[in-house]
Amino acid sequence: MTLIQENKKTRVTTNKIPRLAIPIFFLVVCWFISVSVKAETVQSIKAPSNLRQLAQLKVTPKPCVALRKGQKCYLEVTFSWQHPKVNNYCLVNTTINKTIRCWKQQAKGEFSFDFQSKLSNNFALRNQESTTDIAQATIPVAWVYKSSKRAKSTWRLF
Amino acid sequence: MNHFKIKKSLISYFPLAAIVFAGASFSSASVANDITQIIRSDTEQAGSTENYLETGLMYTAGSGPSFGDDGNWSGTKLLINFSYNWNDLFVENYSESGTGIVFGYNAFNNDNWSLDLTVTTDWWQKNFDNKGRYPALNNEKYSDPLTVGVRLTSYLGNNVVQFSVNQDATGDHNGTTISALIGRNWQVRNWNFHGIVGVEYASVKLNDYYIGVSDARAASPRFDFIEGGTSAYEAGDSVSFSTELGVTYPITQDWVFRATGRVATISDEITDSPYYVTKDSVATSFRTSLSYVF
Repeated sequence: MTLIQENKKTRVTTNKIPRLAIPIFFLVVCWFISVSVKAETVQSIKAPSNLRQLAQLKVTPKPCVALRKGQKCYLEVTFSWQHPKVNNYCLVNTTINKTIRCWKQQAKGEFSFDFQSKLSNNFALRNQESTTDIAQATIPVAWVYKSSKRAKSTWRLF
Repeated sequence: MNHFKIKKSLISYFPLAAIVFAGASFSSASVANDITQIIRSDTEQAGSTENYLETGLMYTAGSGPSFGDDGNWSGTKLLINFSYNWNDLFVENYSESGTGIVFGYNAFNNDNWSLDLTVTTDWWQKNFDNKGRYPALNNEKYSDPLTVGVRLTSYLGNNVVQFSVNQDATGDHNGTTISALIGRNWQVRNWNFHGIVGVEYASVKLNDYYIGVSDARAASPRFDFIEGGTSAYEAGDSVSFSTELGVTYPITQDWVFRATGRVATISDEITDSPYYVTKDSVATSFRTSLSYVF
């Protein structure tokens, strides 16, 4: 019987944390996450001119978070824009200088796409055939582990 | 001896190891495109890990050989991972590894190879596979044996190969372990999967120190639960095969979710010890955690 008692002692050590600690921990986790999400709420960047001040380009959600620096980050994002004047507008990825989508004779629009990048990307709303930004937005890419170097420890590959 | 609850698996070690290896190979092959992409684009190199601290809660559950009637176990524990490097000296602790705190010196390092000299007081006693490495089992007034080791790690594309030799340095038992691991990780969107296959050899001296039974011990009340008592047991050397598959997901920039399943064979040399009542030859475990990275 001593054997079993010793064994129970061994098991007890794995349950040192009071049961209340678990729900409390998860409550704290939920609170932290909700605060983080709120902090990342949509921000539109308005262009400086009078008309541009009323133009808006928003992207949600953000940021894109990958596990380790150097990894490609994936995120389903939605752009929404509006402008007081009906015209031909284009959404442009200014980081790679690529037009993503254009709208003809519209004053607002929405577009979803699958963001995939290792770096933060800047976007802009432009008049078609113009290189001037009317409104800007950014999808930041962030990482949990800031080093691109690997862990070495046994059984831990990242 | 008649009271032993013997639950030997019909699967012998080598077929099981083959199944495990095939499983890991299939898992890797099924996402070969992602691996290729990662290898092409990855700039990771061997070398020191970053300095960081991570803490959270980890829930673990599993089954395996046990000193009691029930081989199932579960529990929640604090997860603490940290790594600190200074001039090739390092200290690290990874709760998921079960190796305890490791102090070390990086003796050699290039793009593909890294050689570490390590010191620890932990013989994988906190591992998720019960191999009977509880120092108090045979020695009530014990001190953790000091372990010195050599750890050679090779980074081959997205594969990691690691060889380790560990030796008792303080003469408590003069035991030795030798292990070889191969693993790889692959990314599916922001989910990071990993698979590891490994084999570990433990010497006679090591096993006998932990789960051997001396004549005096066999005659002690420790084994009163066995009708007629037990005879002395001298453990032999052992080989254990293991594999694990896991996933890591970054919830936010600071919070990380992990889930890992693990299977390991436990040698008869271990479970034949009279200490074991439940004599499973396979140990399985599952662990999941939520942690905050500072």
